[in-house]
Amino acid sequence: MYAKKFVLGFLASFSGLSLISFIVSYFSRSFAQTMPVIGNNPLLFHSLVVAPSEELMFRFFLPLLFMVFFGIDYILGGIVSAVFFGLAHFWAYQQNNAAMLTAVIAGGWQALIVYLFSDREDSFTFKPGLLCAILGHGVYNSLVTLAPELLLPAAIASASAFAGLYLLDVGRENL
Amino acid sequence: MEEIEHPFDAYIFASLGVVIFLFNMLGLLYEGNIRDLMVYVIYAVAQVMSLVFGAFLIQSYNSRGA
Repeated sequence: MYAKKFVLGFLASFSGLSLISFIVSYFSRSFAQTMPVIGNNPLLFHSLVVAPSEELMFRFFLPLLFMVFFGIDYILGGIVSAVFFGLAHFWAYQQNNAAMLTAVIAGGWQALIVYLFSDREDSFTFKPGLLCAILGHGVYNSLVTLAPELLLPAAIASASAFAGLYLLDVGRENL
Repeated sequence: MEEIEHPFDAYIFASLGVVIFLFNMLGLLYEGNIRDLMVYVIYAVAQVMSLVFGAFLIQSYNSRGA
């Protein structure tokens, strides 16, 4: 169960982020970007430092804060923190409103991934939804930084893999 | 009110990020690249604070429901 949700969640997170970025950039002529910083290893920086840090802040800490102080559901807290996620990209995206809108939509998508792919039967566990969101974000950031020309083929491949695995799973449950 | 469990899988993965941060921090200090170092520091502090305060918030949420 964990492995199935993990694989489906990761594929949904990565392909969703990539497709959101392409759709918004098609309409607004802004393109996905990551910070032009980087230290000595951009791949490790984006996949193991940036992605976990942003996901833990905006998909874990802030929604929990809203849940505790305002008594709202995770999904509502996640959507509110997606707005903060967009605002946090104000400087990174050079005040480009369309790029910030991409970040808000992507934040909402990631909150949805955490909610849908986490175990919620007895208690809300964040497992494995939060890890899926971290890995999806990490792979997306790494591709945008290192090989943006591979982003669209990789997004289409992972969306197809998601659809195939999901249909197989539904078909097996109906047998 | 449903309870919330700690996401230990994400905690373990995030702790890898802290290790990478410490490893790269030494390299950046050696090169004197303070700008990149500060970006690493901001991300690492945000990550550790989110983990610690998130864990406290889970305890608080669960104890309120008990």
